[in-house]
Amino acid sequence: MAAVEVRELVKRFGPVVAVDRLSLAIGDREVVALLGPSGCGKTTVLRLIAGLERPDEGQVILAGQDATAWPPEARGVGLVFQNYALFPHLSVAGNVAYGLRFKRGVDRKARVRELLELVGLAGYERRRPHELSEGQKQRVALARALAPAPRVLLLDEPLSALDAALRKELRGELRRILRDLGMTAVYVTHDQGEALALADRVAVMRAGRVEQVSRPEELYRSPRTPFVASFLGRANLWSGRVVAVDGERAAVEVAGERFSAVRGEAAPGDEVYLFFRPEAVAVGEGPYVAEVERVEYLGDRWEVHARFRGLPLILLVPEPRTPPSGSPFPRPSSSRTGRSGEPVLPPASGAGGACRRSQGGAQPAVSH
Amino acid sequence: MIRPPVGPKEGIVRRIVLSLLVLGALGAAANAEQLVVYTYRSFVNWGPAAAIEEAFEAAHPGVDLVWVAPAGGPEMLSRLIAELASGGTAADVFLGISAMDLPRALAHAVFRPYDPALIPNLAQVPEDLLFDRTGHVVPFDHGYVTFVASAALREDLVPRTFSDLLRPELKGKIILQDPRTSTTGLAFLLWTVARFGEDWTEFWRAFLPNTLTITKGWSEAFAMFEAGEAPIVLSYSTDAAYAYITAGSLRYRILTPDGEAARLVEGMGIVRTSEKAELAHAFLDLVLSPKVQELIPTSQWMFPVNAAATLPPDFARYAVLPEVPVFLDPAYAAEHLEAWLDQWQQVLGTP
Amino acid sequence: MRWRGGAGWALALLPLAFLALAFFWPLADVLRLGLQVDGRWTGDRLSALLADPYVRRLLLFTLDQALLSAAVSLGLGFPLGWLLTRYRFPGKGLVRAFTLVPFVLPSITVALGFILFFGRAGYLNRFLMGAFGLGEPPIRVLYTLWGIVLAHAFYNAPVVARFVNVAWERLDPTLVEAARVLGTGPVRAFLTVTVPLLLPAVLSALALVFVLCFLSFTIPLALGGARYATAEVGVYLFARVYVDFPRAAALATLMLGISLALTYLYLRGEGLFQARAGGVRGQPTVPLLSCNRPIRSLWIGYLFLAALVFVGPIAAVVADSFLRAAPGAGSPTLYWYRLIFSPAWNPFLESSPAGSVGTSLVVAAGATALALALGVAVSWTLHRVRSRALEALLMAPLAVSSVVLGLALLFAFRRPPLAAFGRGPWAIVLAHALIVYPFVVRVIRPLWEGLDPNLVEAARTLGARRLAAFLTVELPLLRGGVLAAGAFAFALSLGEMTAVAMLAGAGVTTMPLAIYHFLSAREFGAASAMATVLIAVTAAAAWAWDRAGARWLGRDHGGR
Repeated sequence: MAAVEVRELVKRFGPVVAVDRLSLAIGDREVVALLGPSGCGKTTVLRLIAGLERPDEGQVILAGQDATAWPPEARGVGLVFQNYALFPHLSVAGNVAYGLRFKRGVDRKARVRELLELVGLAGYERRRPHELSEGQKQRVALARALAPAPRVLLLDEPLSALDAALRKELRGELRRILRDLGMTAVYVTHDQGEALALADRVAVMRAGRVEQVSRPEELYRSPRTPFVASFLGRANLWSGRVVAVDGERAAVEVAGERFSAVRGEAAPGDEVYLFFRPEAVAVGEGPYVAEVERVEYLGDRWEVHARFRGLPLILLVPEPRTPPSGSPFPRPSSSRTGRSGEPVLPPASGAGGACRRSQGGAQPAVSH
Repeated sequence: MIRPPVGPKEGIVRRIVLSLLVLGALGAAANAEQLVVYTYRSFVNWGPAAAIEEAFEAAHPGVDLVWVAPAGGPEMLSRLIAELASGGTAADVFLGISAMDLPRALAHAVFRPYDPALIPNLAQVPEDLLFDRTGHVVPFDHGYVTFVASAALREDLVPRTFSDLLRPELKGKIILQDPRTSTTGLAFLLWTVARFGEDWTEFWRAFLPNTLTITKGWSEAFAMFEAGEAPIVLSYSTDAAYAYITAGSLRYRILTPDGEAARLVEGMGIVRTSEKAELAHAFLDLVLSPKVQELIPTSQWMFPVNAAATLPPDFARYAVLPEVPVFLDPAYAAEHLEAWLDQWQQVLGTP
Repeated sequence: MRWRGGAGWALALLPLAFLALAFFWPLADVLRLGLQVDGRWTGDRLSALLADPYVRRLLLFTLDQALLSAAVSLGLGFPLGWLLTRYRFPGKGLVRAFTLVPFVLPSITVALGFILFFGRAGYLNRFLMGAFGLGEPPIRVLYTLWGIVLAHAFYNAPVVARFVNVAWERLDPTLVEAARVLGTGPVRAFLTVTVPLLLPAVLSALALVFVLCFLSFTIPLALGGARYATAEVGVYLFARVYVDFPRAAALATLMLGISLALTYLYLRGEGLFQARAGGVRGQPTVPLLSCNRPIRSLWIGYLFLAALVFVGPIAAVVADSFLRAAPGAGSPTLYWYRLIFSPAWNPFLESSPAGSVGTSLVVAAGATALALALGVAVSWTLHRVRSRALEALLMAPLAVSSVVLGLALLFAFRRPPLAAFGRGPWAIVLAHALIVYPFVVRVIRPLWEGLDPNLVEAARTLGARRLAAFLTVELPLLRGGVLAAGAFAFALSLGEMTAVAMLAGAGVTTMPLAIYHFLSAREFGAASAMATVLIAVTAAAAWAWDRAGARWLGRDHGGR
């Protein structure tokens, strides 16, 4: 039984459909990240689960019970807000103890101490929120949400207000705490690094829908849509056509050239995207030639923007080799063992695959 | 460490409860038997009100005589009429109705008829002063309304005639009272009607620039006059006697323009709804008693109505009796009063 | 938070139902009496009213004095705003604080102060006559139109000064600097840059002052006599003195129409007049007294004049309460203070002086409690339900003058269901609450809007019901605003006389009304002593209001 499940959720704000027939199940003790660009509806999903919004259609199911009509205070969820929403009129201890006011038979003092120790803020009981650093506020917010022992913890971009170094540090700590407590959690973020590092599974959202739910490594390696492909890391996406299939592999024709790729569910004649990561492209002697347009220095490597027969191509070249302009262009590697890094061939035009042709030019890398 | 904050809400609740308690206490305090007398302001701060109260309460132990006097005579009468119309008044007796206001009071049935048998002192009041022939109101004093000048007024400016009153040199030097709210004000209005007939508004139009202000009641006007705000005030012909007796000074001069002054008789009556008729009659009788009547000249600064009351010699000497007392027939006045007041307002309204 | 179906409407209904019973229904009675003859709707009464030269004169005078008052307030107030913005001088904080005082200073005390200070036999004239050996009092402003105008200016010049000061502080100083760099002299820069940019604030202030003076009551009542009455005084006279209810209702209907129109125009104009938010930097200030700029000593002249108008009357009241000779005692004396706390019945007040103090406190406390409850309820509703129509309904008492409101409640308390409350001070409590609660809303609502909605949501997810979240999160965070609004409501109710004059019944006398009665009976000592106490209490409340305001506006104090 899923700890949290939403079925066919729809939420509209006026003419805007924020959540569009979204279904998702989160297992017990599982951490699921909702990842997506801003405005994709991920925070709304969180608020629907928390009961802060009522869905226009669909259900929210908590521990097997239909909780759609329950008020927020009856749902037993903890929510960590993006801006923490600490009560400015209460001390740190008062904030953490707030949720315990509405519970009976809890040793509040002990529980507050326990939680402040958990987040490493023992001794800060009497401080006021405005006397805390951003990182400390974040920890208090976490402790406060955890205090009433919620059945599920919801985190809304909890690290977004922090600077990069602190974010990384707290990310690790958050992960430790969630694992230690065995929390069921839904984690909303637009930062793929956070999602991949923290979550057991990642749900990539776009325009109110879930595009793909997978384990992080699967998501990265085998995106099922061009959106997922390009939202996580850098991706090369070329449109082409399947000309032949052979067992697990398919031959795809792009710009007059044939490439061998993982077949997926593609059939001959399908319009598809040819997807490969920049790091999968080797530079050196080979059959293909591309023209370099510009080069960005990234410290440990170079990111090269090139054109292959008019198609945009991104590739990564490690230091210290500097790619000479006009050098021979390598073909996409299909010789490695295993599936990692191999081109995936999803069928185009929705012919049985998860990856459809991009709609309305949202994919600048692909043009028709 | 963790306690619910005490919000202002709780403070408010406490305050409401407290307020209710205080109000309850206030309400409970007023339970002794009372005789409530409505009168005009100056009867209390000048007149013999305190002496009457003392004598009355001595004669009727356990009864509290309560004076209510926040305004001038006509305004108090208006208020009483309004109270009677809207379901009741606390007043048992109204003291200070002038002959001019009588028709209005009778029209609204403010008073119940008095029983002469219960007011023995009434027998000593001369017949000509009994201005209410319907038997509701008995007189308690009388006098003359006219202009009074202070020593601050230059000798050559002292007006002797009505046309003197219009001299431009007197601009802003005269304090009047509002005929709608003040007995003296109303007396003056009727006086001008009696003197000028149809043309009375002409006089007023010419006269207004010379007024400093028109107060609601006589008390304010006379206090302003005494404080030196203006050298002439509409007041009583007894003011010279008042100045002489209280301060030994002849600083006030009574003006009787063209020898005239307005006759004023004031009365009192028992309010229709009063359930204390016996006490009320006793009150009327007390006011008419020689003892109280003899206080009238030197406190109220009016003439007593009881023929048996003797006048203090200085009062008799300095209180001026005009050559031509002016008194408009009350029935005639009552008939036209509303129209005159409207006209007066209009005169006031034309800049 | 958005609209939430039935619950939202139910919440909106609560204050609406209260206002319907205590405000709209009584007001409808006034309209009915003003516009109906024998049960038939007609404009007969109104046209008869407008045909009456006396009423026409009332209206004309009301308009005249309001225009003059606005102009004089601008003349006195603009330099004050200028002074506060551009100059440094010792005592500046005091002067700035002083501009707050007229907002809560009871108008009857101002009227008393004017009589004592500017009267022909007042302190100023006595001093001048003594100093220059004059036979006639030289200052003859009282009992004229100008007395009323000056008293209105006393009240409203500080309003203008505050508007100008606030707008000027917000002005970006680089604009003037830019003009100077482009080759303009200081005077031209002032005229071509500063003045046009301040114009919206000045116009806004003028409009507000005009409305306030148009609906003025206490000052013309106390200073105008029968000749200089405003239309509001007219309603009072018709209703309470001549007891001509239909006429009072007709004039009240007319005034209601005018005040609604004025309020509408003012609110429409407010958007246009809105001062632009400006510079990051504050306005540069220069010392007022400087040896190398002797022209600045002109300011001394202005300050002297301002002190005469603003400080003179108040000082006169305070001085008079100690100095006026008491019967059987000399001067100075505390006789008048003993008198005003005496529990003995006073026929002029229809109460004892001490009783009037008690009534005032009870009325103010009750009105404050009711206004806070109503203000918070209305703020809550307007916070949750976005509707202009609802806002107009819930804030409607703002557009109704105190006299008209008083007349409405006078009628309402004469018949069921409100008649059940009898002749106690409830009508006055209700009137004051209705007068004050829009200000409570104006204080609380922006604070509420400024609260992070996540705070309540956080409380909800932590297990608090909506009401618990309100009590444990919103209310504590609004506490500063609620306290400030409470202090303001208390001060306003304590000093309010208009509704009291309309509603006072037997035995219910408040301090301002007692002052008015003492004033009318020319018991100056008692009037001054009571006015001094009233000034002290309202000033204390104003101070509390300002302090609470400073706290919740303070940046370091949490929340936003």
